[in-house]
Amino acid sequence: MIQSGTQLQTEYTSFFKQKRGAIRKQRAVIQKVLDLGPATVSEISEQADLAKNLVVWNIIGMLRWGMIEIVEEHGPELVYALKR
Amino acid sequence: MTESHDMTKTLTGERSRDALVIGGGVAGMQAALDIASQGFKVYLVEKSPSIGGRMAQLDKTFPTLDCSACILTPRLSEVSRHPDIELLAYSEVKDVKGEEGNFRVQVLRKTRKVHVDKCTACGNCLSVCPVEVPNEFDGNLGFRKAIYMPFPQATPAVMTIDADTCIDCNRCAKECDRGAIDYTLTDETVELHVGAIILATGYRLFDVAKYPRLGYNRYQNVINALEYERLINAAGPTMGHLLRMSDGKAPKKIGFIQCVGARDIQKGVPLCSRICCMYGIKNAVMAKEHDPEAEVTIYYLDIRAFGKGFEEFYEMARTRFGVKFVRGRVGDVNEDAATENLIVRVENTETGTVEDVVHDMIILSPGVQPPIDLSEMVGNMGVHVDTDGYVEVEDVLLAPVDTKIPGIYVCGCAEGPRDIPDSVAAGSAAAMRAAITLVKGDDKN
Repeated sequence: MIQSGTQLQTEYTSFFKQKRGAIRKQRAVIQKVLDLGPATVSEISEQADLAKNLVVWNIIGMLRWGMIEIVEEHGPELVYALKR
Repeated sequence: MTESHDMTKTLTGERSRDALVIGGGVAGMQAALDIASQGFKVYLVEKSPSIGGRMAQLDKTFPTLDCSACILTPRLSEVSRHPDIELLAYSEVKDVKGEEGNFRVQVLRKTRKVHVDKCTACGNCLSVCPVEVPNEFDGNLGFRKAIYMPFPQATPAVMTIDADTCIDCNRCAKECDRGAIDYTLTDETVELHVGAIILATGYRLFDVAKYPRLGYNRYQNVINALEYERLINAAGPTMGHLLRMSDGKAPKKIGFIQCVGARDIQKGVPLCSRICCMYGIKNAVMAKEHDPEAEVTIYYLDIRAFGKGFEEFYEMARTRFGVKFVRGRVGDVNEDAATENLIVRVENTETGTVEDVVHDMIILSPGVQPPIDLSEMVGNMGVHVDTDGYVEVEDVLLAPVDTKIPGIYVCGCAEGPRDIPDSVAAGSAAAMRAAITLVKGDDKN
């Protein structure tokens, strides 16, 4: 039986409850940052003015739907780029 | 494998030579294969959209560090292709009547809103579905759509519409060239006539949020072991990169806390879960495999490395991989608000000192518990559960897979916590006992 096995109710999971319009806006801003070149979560967060955990959440979604890819590691962070 | 909807039998009064296996995890699949390979027909009922159970969610297995999916996928395929196994996934047993050799079982077949004979799992519907929800298979860290397949090797390989989150926009139906999506499909109940039943309902993980002092649900960088498994899995939400949810950085100082929801009378879980020590060590080893420079610590009460190769695996973790083991129950976990690092307060019982240790990420290793509805489900069959909530057996030494109801057997974690090899062995044992029932009638004569 597949179960989630989790009851994680942090800020992270609350992001799933956002309105679709808000999510679309966040992804558009992230995409705009990545249009300028590959970037880390810290860089995206700074340039897009979004909280880091919100950027992580969106990045995981964008990875899942094939919009972006991981291109390299930069210290403790990964560098993300738009999939062409 | 078939998923036909016409399986009702009307053999009133006759003994049936068919068997029912409830639960499509590794134990249930083994039981189904072993019965079917002896020429009996088997109905395999699975509650979720796919068989595979908990093992499908794991990254590696202990003590060999084999890829879990690599072992499991051929088994999924074997079940799906076996001509004598009829898979009833996304279905639930609602009622059981009768006696050994002649059980009548009511099974609710939940609708997927998808014609299983038309869907090819091409995935075109996924790209148009606008609804994003947490993916339970990824410990709710990853994403799925309202129409989904839990994982790429899901069996049967068909899409399912999650009625709770679907907004009926009809975009998936319009996108599907084969006309597989049909919102008018409804649940249906079918009756099965079987001679033997095997319970293989698996387990659930202890809800670690019941220990607020350990920070789960309070701090983003405290996760449980199943979430960790999905994060380090190449097919997981981060494509195998272990990241902190708070800032996307790779953790360099990782702590594993053992026995969370096991051997604790105050929380109503006095039982040792048997598997946590080894999966905790395995997870620690995987952290070092991912990043050999990472500092990895396990906080434990005892290490119970009881199985073949387990002690050697523990030694290897300590000496070859450099995992640090600290004996002592963790008091609490607090967060440094500025860095979102975690401070573990622990009494090291080997040195007699209380220590505050800073970590980037904490993984709680939950104990296992019986499924929440197990007592009610088996109670309908006249089967009892023991004080820990697991299925009670006839004799723990001499009849470890027989319930007290003739013709009903149990295997895997439905009977108590056990690891994969023990679950497989119990699946085969239950299959043998069921086959004796199917061949000879009352096996106690």
